[in-house]
Amino acid sequence: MTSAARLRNVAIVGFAQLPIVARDEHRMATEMLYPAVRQALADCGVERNAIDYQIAGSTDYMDGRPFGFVAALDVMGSWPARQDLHLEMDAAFCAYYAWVRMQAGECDTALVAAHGKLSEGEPNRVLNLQLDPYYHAAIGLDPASTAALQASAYMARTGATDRDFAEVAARNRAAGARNADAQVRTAATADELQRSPWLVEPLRSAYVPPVGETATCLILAAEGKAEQLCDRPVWIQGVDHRTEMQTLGARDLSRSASTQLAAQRAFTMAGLAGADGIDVAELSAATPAEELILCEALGLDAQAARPVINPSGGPLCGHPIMMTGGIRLGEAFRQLAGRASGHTVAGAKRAVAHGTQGHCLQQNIVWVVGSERRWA
Amino acid sequence: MKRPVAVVGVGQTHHTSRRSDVSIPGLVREAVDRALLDAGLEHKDIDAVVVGKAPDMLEGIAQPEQFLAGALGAHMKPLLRVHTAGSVGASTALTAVTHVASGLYERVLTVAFEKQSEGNAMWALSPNMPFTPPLVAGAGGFFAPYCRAYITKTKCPPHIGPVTAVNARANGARNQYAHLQEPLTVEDVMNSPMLWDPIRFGETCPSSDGAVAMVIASEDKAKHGPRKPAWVKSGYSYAEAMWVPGRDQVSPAAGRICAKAVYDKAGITDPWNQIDTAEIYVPFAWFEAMWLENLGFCDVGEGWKIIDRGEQAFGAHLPINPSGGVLCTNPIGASGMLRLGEAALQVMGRAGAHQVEGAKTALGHAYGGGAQYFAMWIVSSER
Amino acid sequence: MFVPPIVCSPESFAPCDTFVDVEARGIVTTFCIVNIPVIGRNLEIPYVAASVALDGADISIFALIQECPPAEARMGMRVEAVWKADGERQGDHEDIQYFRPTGEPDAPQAAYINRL
Repeated sequence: MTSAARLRNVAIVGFAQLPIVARDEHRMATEMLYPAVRQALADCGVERNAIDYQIAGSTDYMDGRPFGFVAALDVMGSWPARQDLHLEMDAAFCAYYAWVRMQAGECDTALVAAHGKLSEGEPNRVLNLQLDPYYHAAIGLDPASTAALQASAYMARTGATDRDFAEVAARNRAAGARNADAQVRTAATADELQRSPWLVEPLRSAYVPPVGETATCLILAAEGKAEQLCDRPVWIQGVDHRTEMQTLGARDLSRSASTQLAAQRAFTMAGLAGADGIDVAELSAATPAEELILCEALGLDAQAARPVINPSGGPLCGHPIMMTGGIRLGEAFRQLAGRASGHTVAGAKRAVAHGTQGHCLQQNIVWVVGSERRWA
Repeated sequence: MKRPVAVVGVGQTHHTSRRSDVSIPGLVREAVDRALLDAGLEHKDIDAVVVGKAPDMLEGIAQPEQFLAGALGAHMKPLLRVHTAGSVGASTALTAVTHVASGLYERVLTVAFEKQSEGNAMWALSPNMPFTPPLVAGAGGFFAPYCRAYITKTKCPPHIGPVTAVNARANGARNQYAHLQEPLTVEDVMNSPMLWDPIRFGETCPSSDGAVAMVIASEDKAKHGPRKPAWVKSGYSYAEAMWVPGRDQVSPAAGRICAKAVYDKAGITDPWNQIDTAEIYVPFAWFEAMWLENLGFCDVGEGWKIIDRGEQAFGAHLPINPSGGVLCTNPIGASGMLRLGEAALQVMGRAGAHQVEGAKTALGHAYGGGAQYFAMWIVSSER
Repeated sequence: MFVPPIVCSPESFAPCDTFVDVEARGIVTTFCIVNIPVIGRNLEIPYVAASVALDGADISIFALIQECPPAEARMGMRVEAVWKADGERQGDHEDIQYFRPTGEPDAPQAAYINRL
């Protein structure tokens, strides 16, 4: 892949989500997805037929049903038959493939949907099943335990403390209180959060997200179409994703090597030496330790005024698995397109959005987006 | 397609009902290692990995590509996981093709597998749908009523299913990798138990463990490999909604639309005469007649007559599934990629005992869901 | 008109927001006879699993056919629902125990062949 190559300018032109809730009592996942798709199209001022390509992200195991994703076709406007794909991955990765298709000239517009109701199952049991069946799943590791291992490794290397985690969590909570779509909308001080009980040491229950669900829809469009669909398209300037091996003992859990590499590649594609001029960073950090690790990997100064990290409140305030990364991209869009209402970061022109899959940040995608086109 | 793309290596496992001698990483590595060897490449030459498989409940590991990242050689590379039900193996290959066509990647490894002996396949194929009584017993239970409708509408004689199955098994006998390699007779099939009337046991695919992998490369890289490549002339994946009033479940519109797109892009106006061989997804024998029509090889109602005249047999006008197809081998997640991979092997001249002589243009096809997902490609020996 | 109800029409993509009563009578458009058990289910084998086009509905539902020897099941057969007793109904699909033949003459092929 040649980083200096001129690529096609593609923008995010729409994003709709339902508010993240602990449980939607009345609707199935597809019934939640339909209004998100309608809203995203309405915001772009178009009907479904205006969109060339559709791609959806969800996971059968979270749905609790093999082939669970097939039902989404009926609420995505799949008639007449559409060019389509489904990934068993977070929407942020689905958006990536839509971007690749644009680069291949296979489409000019794309709809990226994500759905799933975590409340209907037992996410912790399911997420245990993501692990190596011989050495990891068999000892009962769940997402809190693996995240705790990572937090522990980070503290050992850097000397980070429980107070450091509490402060990161408090900052996210304050931000979430301003985001109408967040699930957790009450601010809390670091002192209060440090009084919450241990979940799996060194993580307190206040440092991990609650189970929550929603439905999301992003619209992407290439130059030439983007300007018709959005008054302030948010241009994709750079993107890359990488995975590491899953084996927890084979990785330095205190760092995210795949995020670092993906970030290097994404910044290079964007024509940047590093995280220069990044106003907003929306990171798929499910715990404060993950946020600190990601900041290090991305070269972000967590103490500086810019970038503002997770002005949406981040996953701590709402973590609908398989949608979290897509929401980070959607939040970056909102900030740069002037649609972040109560949680706007003033004058934001460039943002980083991050998505992840698997335990301990195994697989990571880094998007660099901005108000300006990358390629002339 | 923005730039030419080719298949430069194919590898698969010897498919069988239960591979108790390997773990899932081991199974996948067999196919991956063979594909890389075939292409004359090493892991360091691969830029990205695209994996596909069917529901994870078939093995009991959620999102197993994460567990497999090391075995796939994907460490520190981009990795994507596709899932489009039965068509997944094919849509996965097409995803890899788009990666290379985009100019962003030079060589992509694509893998599809299923180790369904680890779970209970019948259960995993019988999901309980909301507001619907749980009646569907496996994929056959869903499709059997539509096979019945085809038979009724076209007055298809009762021997067509058995004849199709016998032909498929004769083909499987020529494929060293096929799960089922023993020939069958029409009497064997007629005497086998009815599973979901009208589909008999002898007309039904097996449940297999297996994996397949291919290396997809740019023109520049393809020209430097040890093999004559298979050029991807076109490839598309389409899907349609289920609950559309009057939806044709016997010859779904999505299949016809996808085939038209694939033919148009490849410059095919007369599939029956311009395609030398086709690997199409036939899990239950009656589908062969149905897909011959859906794919435009003949008019509506004429598909079963092609089979009756033996025109789709090995050595005849348009050999269908010379590998034996899904009726001989069905690791669900892999089957779609096996169709596309076998089509590639044919035009590469590397199909061994099941080589269709002089095959230059081949179709690979797969479908999934309630016959809603379709993914196909046309490959050629000519750039 | 969709049975069971769905949030939107997949054909027009418009929302479906009006509930309409429909009678639980219709035509078997096609069917199969199932001879395989599935773990977790209690149905007696063999059973007839049919696609039933209810009178007035635009899509078919899956339904179990009983009170009919499997060999006598046929496309076009007119059927009616057999419900659970009044006090036992929960408001879900299990309220219908199964469909049985009404004994009326079969529907002509044209009435069901495009409503599979």
